[in-house]
Amino acid sequence: MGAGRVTIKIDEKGEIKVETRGMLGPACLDEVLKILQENAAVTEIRKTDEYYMKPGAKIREEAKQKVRQ
Amino acid sequence: MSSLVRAFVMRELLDSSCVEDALKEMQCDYLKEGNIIRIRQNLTITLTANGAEVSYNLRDSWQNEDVNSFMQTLAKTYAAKLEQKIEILKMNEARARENEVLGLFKEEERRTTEVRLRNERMRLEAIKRREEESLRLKIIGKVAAIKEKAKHLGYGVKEETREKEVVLVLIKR
Repeated sequence: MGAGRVTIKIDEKGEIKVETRGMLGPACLDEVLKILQENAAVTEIRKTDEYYMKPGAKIREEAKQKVRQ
Repeated sequence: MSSLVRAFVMRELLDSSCVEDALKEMQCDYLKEGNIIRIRQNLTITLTANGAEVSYNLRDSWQNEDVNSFMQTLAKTYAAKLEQKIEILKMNEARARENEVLGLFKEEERRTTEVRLRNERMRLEAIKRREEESLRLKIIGKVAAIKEKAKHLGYGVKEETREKEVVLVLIKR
């Protein structure tokens, strides 16, 4: 897994919202769940397109665009 | 955004009558056997010996979204019920005073009613304060544990405290 950013918001009622950015593939979710493990009860997991992309996929797309230019 | 995860830190549910009221509000079938409330095969709530403290026996994994969502709804409904009971007691106290002014209550009767209502309200308010403080401390502990875990996994951690929330930004390069 490459560079990534995880934002965790915890409010006074104990509700937690976690967003990941710039992380491709299931590994990013695994890592979030590892961080939350034993610390919170998960109620919802929403996977976006990036979740289903293989790590490195974005880099290849950027490379293609450079060739086109 | 790669993924979005929602989770929560479970609060204490110290008043057993509010737990049962919340379950009824949720139209949840449950079986009470002594101090055990059986909700499903995999979920029981145990009322402890003093009849007030509730503990959870979740045999499922902490990742079980179904059980966790149920517990979160229960906690929210419970908190609303507790708040509602306190408000009703306040209203009834005011009504008892009003009835005394109107001469509908005898002094003795008024005193007994008012003392009973006040004591019950104060008991519930104390429970509410205890639960809120316990949750606050629990959240502080969880934030510290999450930061520790993230650092262990190689993340840089930035923490920002806003009015009603703590924001942790974890960055891995």
